[in-house]
Amino acid sequence: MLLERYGYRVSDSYQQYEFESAGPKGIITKVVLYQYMRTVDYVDHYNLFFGDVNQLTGKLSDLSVSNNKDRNKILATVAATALEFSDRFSGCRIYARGSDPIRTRLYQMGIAAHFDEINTHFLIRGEYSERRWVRFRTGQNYRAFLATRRINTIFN
Amino acid sequence: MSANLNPEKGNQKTYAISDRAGITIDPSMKDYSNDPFCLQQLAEARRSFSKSDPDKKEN
Repeated sequence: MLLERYGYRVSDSYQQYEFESAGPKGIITKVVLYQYMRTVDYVDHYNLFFGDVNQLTGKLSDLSVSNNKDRNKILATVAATALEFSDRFSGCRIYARGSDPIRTRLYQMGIAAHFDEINTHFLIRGEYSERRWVRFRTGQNYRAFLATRRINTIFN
Repeated sequence: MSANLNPEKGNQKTYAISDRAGITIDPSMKDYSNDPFCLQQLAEARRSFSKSDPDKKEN
């Protein structure tokens, strides 16, 4: 595994994760939440929420653009939380969709850039158009993503 | 397996993505699950997801 990630803290429910992004803008606390959405055909689906903690208010936002020059490390950390979460909630699916098309595009770029590694652990599907889900392919635009943990991978 | 036993904020040591080092269980973590913004995002995700049926439309 070549990608570097930040260390992170996890709640005892294993549904909330926090870590600090470090860069030119300083230290920014990031939160990842796996929110139960619904069960479809006996498979639990969770929404991946990802956001910043506003340093002034202490409240969450996913709309800020922190631009801390560590995007790949952040994405790798989020991916690591998905590994941890799917270890604990085996058989679940993780749904990810940016709060706007630009952010969804960023997710897509992150998946594409590290697809070989991500694909080792997860089957990734993208919503190509409404009601049309396909296996993720680089160079294709998607509206949302579904990650299903492959059963034969090990989180060391 | 190793663990980072010092969850000090700002500890920016990095780790391999699938390495369990650098992970700290923090029972005292502030719970954001009922944060209004999180609930709003969840509602939007549910609305968006309900428009799809991924299990029956996979290619």
